[in-house]
Amino acid sequence: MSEEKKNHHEDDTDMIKLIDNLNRKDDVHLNRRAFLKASFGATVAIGLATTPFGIFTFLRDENGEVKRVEVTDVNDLAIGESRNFNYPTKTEPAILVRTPEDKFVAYNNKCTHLQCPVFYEHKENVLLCPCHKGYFNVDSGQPMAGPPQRELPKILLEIKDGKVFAVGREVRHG
Amino acid sequence: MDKKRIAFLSIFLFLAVNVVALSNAIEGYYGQEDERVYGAVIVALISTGLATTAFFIWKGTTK
Ligand code: FES
Repeated sequence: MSEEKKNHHEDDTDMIKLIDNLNRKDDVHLNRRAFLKASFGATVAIGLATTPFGIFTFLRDENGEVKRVEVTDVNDLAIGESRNFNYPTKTEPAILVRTPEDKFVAYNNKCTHLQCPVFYEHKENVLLCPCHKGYFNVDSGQPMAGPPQRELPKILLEIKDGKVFAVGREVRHG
Repeated sequence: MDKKRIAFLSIFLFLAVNVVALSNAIEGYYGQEDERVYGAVIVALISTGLATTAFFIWKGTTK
């Protein structure tokens, strides 16, 4: 092989030099290798990129964002009435509704469109966002009309000894 | 198919798995669905591990 190469080098014809450069098999091989290496690198990078989300989720849990808060006395809220409270933190608005079917439901009181507060409309039994006329279903928190596309985060309730407690929050549900 | 080819192709499979896992982790994180985040992280780490194995199998049998 080295003899063959030597011959080529000693030969001054341009064409032959070109052919010598074109070691096609090697070329294909190297490209494929580089491609796989890049793909493998991307796989590892993307795979490892999930870990921070896991860690932050864990830390968020540790901070105990989900806690138990007393909202009101059952008797303080008549059927078809609503009340605002804050949950899960002191600054996050929420709305508690006692529906005509005498059920308690609560949602994050921020429209999923542009965060305006929503109000309970007793007559139509809907949650209404006045900013751009967004309507939400009272029983599910799902958007019914207007710009909002996502459901209102639901606040999980527990009724015990005649009192309503907020015990958790589900951002995506139903 | 020989071992090398399988290893080669499986890396792309793991790449796809990781992309899906990452999107799940992000959606789960912002949607505050903890289980989804943890599930995605576990899947991603396993598939990354398998991809590494596949990579070395492929490397070992090259040349
Ligand atoms: S902010 Fe509620 S509809 Fe736009």
